[in-house]
Amino acid sequence: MSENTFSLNLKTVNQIAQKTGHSIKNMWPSRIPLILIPPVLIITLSLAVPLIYLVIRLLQTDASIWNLLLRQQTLQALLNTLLLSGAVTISSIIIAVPLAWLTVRIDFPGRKLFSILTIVPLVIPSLIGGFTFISAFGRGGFIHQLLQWLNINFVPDIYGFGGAWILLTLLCYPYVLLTVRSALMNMDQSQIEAARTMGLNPLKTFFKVTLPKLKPAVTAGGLLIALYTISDFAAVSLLQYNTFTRLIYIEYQTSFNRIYAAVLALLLVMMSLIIVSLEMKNQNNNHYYSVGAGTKRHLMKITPGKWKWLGTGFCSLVVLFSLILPAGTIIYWIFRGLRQGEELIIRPEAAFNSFYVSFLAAILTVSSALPIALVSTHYKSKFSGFIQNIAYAGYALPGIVVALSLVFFGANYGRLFYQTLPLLLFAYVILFLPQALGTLRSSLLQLNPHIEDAGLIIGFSRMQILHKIILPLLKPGILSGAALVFLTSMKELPATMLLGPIGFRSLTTEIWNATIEAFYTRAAVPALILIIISSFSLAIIFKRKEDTEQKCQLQES
Amino acid sequence: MIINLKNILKTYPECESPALNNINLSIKSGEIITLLGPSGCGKTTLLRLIAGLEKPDQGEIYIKNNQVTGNQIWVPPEKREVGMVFQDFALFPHLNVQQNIAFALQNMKISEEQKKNKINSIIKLVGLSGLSSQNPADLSGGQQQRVALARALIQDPLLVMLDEPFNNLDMNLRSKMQKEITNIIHKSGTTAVFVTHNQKEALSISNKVIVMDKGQIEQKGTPRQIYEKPKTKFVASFVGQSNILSGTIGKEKNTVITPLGRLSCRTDHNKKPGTRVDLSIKPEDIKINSSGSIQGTILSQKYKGQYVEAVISIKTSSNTKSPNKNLNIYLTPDDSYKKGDKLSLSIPPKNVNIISS
Ligand SMILES: Nc1ncnc2c1ncn2[C@@H]1O[C@H](COP(=O)(O)OP(=O)(O)OP(=O)(O)O)[C@@H](O)[C@H]1O
Ligand SMILES: [Mg+2]
Repeated sequence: MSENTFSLNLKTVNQIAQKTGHSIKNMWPSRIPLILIPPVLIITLSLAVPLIYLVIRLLQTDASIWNLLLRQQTLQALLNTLLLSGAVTISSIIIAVPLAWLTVRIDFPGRKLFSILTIVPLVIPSLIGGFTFISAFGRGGFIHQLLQWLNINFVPDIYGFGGAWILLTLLCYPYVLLTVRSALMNMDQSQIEAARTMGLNPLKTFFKVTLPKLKPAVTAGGLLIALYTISDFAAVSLLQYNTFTRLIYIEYQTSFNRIYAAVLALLLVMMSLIIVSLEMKNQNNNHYYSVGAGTKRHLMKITPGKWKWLGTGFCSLVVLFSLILPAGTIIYWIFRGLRQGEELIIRPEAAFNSFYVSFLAAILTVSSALPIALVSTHYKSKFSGFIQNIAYAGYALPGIVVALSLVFFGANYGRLFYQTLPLLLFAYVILFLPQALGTLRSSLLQLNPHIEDAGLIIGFSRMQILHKIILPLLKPGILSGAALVFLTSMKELPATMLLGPIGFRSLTTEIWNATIEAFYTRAAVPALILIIISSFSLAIIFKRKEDTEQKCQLQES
Repeated sequence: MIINLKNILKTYPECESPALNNINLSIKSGEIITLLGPSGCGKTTLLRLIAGLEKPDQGEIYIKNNQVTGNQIWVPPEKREVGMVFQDFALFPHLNVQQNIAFALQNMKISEEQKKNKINSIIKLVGLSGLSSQNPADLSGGQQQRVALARALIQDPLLVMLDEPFNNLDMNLRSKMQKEITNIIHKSGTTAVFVTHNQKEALSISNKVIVMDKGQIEQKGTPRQIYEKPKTKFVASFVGQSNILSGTIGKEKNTVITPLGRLSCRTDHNKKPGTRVDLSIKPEDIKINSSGSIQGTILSQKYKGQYVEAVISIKTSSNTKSPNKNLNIYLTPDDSYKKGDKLSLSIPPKNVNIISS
């Protein structure tokens, strides 16, 4: 069928879809077509296998697990992890909620600029955050040099809890900022206005009406941050703070018997599973309904009078530390490298490796996600719910855990694959499947359900509908899912380090090694590349969000 | 005067035509007013300007002779003492009924005892006793509305404004709530502004109606004045679907020459003979009368329950351009006329209303 006739067909299908008032979904068989079951099962199970294997190995071991669990070291790591994630979450909330309110509601000088700039730190992966933090404040870092030049002999102690806390807060606060900002913008404005007509000034209105309604958004963002913090590897490792992830890595490297690392990994997974399940619960409770209906109106911005520069000052301070400092640091090292005539500012091999491994990962991940997405959106059954949950549980898997379990698995069963590209790719698929699945599912759910009904009326078979209607309409979703996986794989560190073939270099391993060895100029260019890359992924996410919102508005009107 | 608006102009950003254009309006203490007009004519915008939720481009607003909006002057909504019942009620979902109602009291400097009394009496007034600890989500539409009203009334506002308060309710509840709410407002003695685009509602709930169209005030008056003596074509056709005719004032006293022939008309105009005018005639005022001077044929009929709406084609006097003129009239369902039947009609002079054109 030529391109033209096809698009014509799609149009009629669409028209019929709009005419058939109600869905005739029940024309779909209630059971999942048999051909879909094997791929879905295989993919889902292979996701779970490494973890299951980890558990089995633990059960078989002679060493007493209790002894391992109750080691002083374990408890310390547990305490550290909890402390850090709690502290980072709280401090992020304290920074982000006022930022959100300021940028959405208050008309201070520079509001528009700051509402973008305060989100931008999202593009800084924690590895690069760690690199810039150390290379700015650490011994030999540029702040240090500046101080020496001023004849001040002082090196701030950035290692340990304090440094990790500050750094992760600066990297993470945008997550809460995002959720809270969007909640603020979508909030039922008339409730705020009602409070004003009832005699409350803007500040009181914020505390009495706005804040209580922001709770789900703050919780969602906060949980995201907690998850980020406990699974973060690069920042805590570079800053030498012993959380689970760092301890796992050290154990993996130093001890011959890796059972203890496995115990730690399982503990970590349990913690992150708890957070993910809290997040799901939060989402379910989230349906703060608003009474009645009515036209949404823009809320008048509050003009703050003589206090207005306070807003500008606060935002500037946050942006200075979270954005300008890291960016400035990178640029400083690049210039320095250029001036000192360092030739090898980047190894082309590392960039090439990163690109092509990520490219393969994108293709593999999206094609694995597609059948799962189809099943989970089209069939409401226990099976599809189960599949979906397993796939989403991937969100709870920190990179270091997946890496470690595959090391185990590979070392014992997959000798053939151990430290080869396929195993690395497999790790990427496990890690990034939830992302791809999320994108695909949301694209699928946005399709007008009547479109498929209309296809049935015309007399298409289900395969034809899939092939001729769903997949073409899904193309943008597939592309952006793939792009997202591509970009995220580029930023991945722990799995790449543990599973990459011997001598494998990527952008992230380059930065890691250079930072550890304090060759900061060597880390700068790969860091810049990664930041640019991750800006693209952010742009894709925002673009999709915008499209989704527009589509929803269209469907409402 | 409780409210005074002078020369208000408001254009929303990125809108070509103004949402409100040269509005002048004053509201006396104790009045119950309805703003009537089609969707998009600027009713809500007007309320929001008074409440201080929106700033006009030009013009001044006074509340109790204190300027609250104008050149360099801006009093924020929380200091204006106007209550508002929002189109979507805007109840706080995180608070129960009593907390919603008490919300407005938290800034008042009165004792807890007084607060309690106030809350109890207002809950009784709006008939929500027994529901104080419910969540707004668990209430019916009518109950939600009463919570919203109680919330607006409890601060003893100078003025309470209700934006299409009955819109979200079904037909039965709607007329019941119209009665109840107006009753409550009468009892509380506040000044009130209702917004509606339903003309029947406007005529029945208030003692003063302001008809708006395209951001301008078309006519102010009592419901009777608005209905019986519309001053513009828009008011005539929006309130009661009048037949609009064009004509010329006749030489004989109180006559007007129309496509239907010469009609006797109302006396309360002072137009010179020969002036071109528009006139409006309500369908229900056109009577079937075997000795009537107007002859016509039934073109179509529509059954409407209490009456039958019929379109009558009238042969016009030969000196006009169009040979036929259609009139809407109401027949009683018992009259069993058929399409094509010929009728003689008459119109009492007091029902022939001259619109100043
Ligand atoms: N926030 C806004 N931004 C831009 N235009 C607006 C805004 N609010 C209202 N308008 C426009 O101003 C005009 C008047 O709107 P308004 O809501 O006051 O009308 P209304 O009489 O209350 O209508 P309805 O009966 O539908 O509620 C409309 O044309 C509307 O599209
Ligand atoms: Mg309105």
